[in-house]
Amino acid sequence: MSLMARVESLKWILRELSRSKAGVTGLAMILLFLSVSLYVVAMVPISEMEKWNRLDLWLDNPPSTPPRWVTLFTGENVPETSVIESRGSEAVPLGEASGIYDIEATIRYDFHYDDFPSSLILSITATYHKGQPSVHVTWEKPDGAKITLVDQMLPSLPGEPPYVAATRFYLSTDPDVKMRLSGYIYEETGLMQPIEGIMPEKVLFSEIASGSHLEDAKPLKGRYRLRVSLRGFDERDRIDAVKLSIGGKVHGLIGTDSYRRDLLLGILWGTPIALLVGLLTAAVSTFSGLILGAVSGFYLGAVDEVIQRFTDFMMSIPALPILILLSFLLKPSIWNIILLLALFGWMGVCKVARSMAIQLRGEAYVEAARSMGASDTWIILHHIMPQLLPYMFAQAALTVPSAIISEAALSFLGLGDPSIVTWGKILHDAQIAGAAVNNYWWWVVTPGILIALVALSFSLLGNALDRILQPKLRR
Amino acid sequence: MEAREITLGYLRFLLRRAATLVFIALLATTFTLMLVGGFGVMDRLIIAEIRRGARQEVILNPKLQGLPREEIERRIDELAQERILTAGLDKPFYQRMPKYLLQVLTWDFGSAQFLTSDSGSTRVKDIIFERLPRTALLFTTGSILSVLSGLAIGLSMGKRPGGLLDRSMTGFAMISYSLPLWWTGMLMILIFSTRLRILPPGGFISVPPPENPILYGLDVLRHMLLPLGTMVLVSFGGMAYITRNIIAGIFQQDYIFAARARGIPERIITYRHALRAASPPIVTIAGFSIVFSIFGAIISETVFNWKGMGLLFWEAINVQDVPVLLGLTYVSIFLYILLIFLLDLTYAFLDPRFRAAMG
Repeated sequence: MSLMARVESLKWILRELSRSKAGVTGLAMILLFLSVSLYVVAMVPISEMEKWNRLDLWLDNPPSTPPRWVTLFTGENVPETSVIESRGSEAVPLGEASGIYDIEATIRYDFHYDDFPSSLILSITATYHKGQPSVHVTWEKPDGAKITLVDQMLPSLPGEPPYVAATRFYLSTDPDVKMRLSGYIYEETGLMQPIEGIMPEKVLFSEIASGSHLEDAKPLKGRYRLRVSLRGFDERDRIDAVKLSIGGKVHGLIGTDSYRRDLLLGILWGTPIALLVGLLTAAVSTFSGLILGAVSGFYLGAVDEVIQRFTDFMMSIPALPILILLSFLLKPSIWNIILLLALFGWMGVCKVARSMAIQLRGEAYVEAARSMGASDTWIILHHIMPQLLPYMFAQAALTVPSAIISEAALSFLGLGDPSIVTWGKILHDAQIAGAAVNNYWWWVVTPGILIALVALSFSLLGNALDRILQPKLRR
Repeated sequence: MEAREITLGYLRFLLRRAATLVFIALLATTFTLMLVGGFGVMDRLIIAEIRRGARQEVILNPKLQGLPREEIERRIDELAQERILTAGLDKPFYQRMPKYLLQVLTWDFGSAQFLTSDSGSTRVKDIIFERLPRTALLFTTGSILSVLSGLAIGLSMGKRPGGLLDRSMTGFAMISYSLPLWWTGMLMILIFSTRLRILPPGGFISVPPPENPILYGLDVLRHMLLPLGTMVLVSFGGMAYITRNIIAGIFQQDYIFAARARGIPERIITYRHALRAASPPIVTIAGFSIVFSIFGAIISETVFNWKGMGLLFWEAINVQDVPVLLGLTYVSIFLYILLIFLLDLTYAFLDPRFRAAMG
């Protein structure tokens, strides 16, 4: 087939495709997923994706929190996650030649929600040179109430100065903090509260005065201040960073999982990976099926017999259990998984390509080419394969959904590539965390819908192409 | 005379199919064994089991009580080494293959590393065969329901191609084909169990189980509703679509027009004429699509905490219990090939020529 003819036939296919509503929908969806993938690969570096497996990097986020947009439906005004950072002031000497220096850092937070935050984490990084500086943290409410949250020494570190101490206070769960808050409540209201019953977010973000009931405490709106003061023994001492992470009751576009990871990252990076798995598996399996089928149908005889018996064999063994065993035995990398999926995906194509090749080998131009001394390989490459190729696009598109769904199943079972994040793996984590039973719907629904949509888009396109191309080849 | 020949012909066909499938089962098992042996997994497992046995024996031996720790360890090593030689593990793997193959073919899958059956057995065979009936119960019921509902809807679709039902169900079939069954299961739990609280999220029976046998049965049924519903929801669209295509083709045939012209009621045309001609291809295609999807469906047991083979796959992978995983693979191969044979049998039986011959 000449180049012109090929361009013409491509144009014809596109024209026919534009008449099929399903085909256009499928193509549009695929283009959308492709552009998302390109965007992700270009804009979100792989190093970002690798953070997915570093659970220690996600501590600022609240665990198992629904996405932000739910408030549009519930109409509730609930806090979002916010992380506020601040640096310390210059060291101020406490009196002349006392050798004692004060450093301060203040965090201001405007709180205007109708619900309490879900968690509070305070991180302080300080550099010191002599002795063990003390750290003092005070919480100031809009109504002027002041509560001491932390009053302790920085840890003594080994080695030479300067020492850099990074300390993290989990204010929501810290027993010391709870103890202090219990004392605060007693002072204000005269009520004795068991330490276990104290919810620091509630105490810190509401007005507590005599006669107020803790059970139905309302959030107090206004500006809150968190003051960190460090008392050190060297003028070079400083507070490098103070960070207050206020965990929201809603978080981000897709919410978080129980490991506090922002699901948006996993969902975004899952897109190029799903497409890679689907397209590469389809390409490899369709191409191998095409070659085997063409060879089988062209030569017939013993070659055909061997190839066909092997095809039958592959069709009579259960793919998934053997895939499970193989991915369990092999090093689970994404490339191995693609190869394994392709290993079990070429048989249908082979059967179709064979029956077409049998028809084509009897055509006059094949006879003519042979009479002019063309070799078998030449005929297969120049007369058989180009005829089969357009049909194979439909076959390839129809292979993509099963490849994506199978990969998702393997990842769901915990056999995915551990170094990357896939939608199936997100669902694996969701299953382990009991997301469905615990009503973490955002964690279950999003990755699954995307798997289904990507699979659907390729089915739509594949079926449309199939319908267009089949009559042409039958002619 | 002719009838006899046809019967014999089908028997020959079935025998040939059976022989081919037995051969395929053998080949697949050998192939799997070679893979497992090639990765050295078999040897590791056998050595681990021998060492475990040797340790038990030495520690429980009253004569050796009170010996110092190192001495006991040395005795264990010695005994294990001796047994490893007796087991022929010094020989290359391919020489030991026939023995292992025989073991697998006689359902001797050895002992599990971590998992046990409910009755407390550590034998892989016991663990798997305890799970098998539960999977069969769920899967068979689900398949029958999917096929029946798909058949009913596909019939209506095929009689009026291009109608509202036809178009909407075709769209639905395409969508349901894209849904991973296990994920749909998670979704169903979310909706019907977590949100609406009308069905249990999983399990086989309530705790404690009802004593009355009727209530017991009803309770199992209640637990089956969600997994069954999921299976039917995901697969009946595809079944309907298959039926529709075949039926639509048959309703184009001349003999249907002829039957209509003779004034035969539409109901009889549908059930006697069309469905009879349609059933063999429907059974083949629907049967194969069910068999192809069986292991995908079985995985959904994980989601529903249904203690069948699918959940066992999940458990074996999570605790890295290799013998159980191997046993599951072999059983899956046998099961799959058995199902294909049953399909052949059904197909032959539904073929009108064969049925006529059987009288």
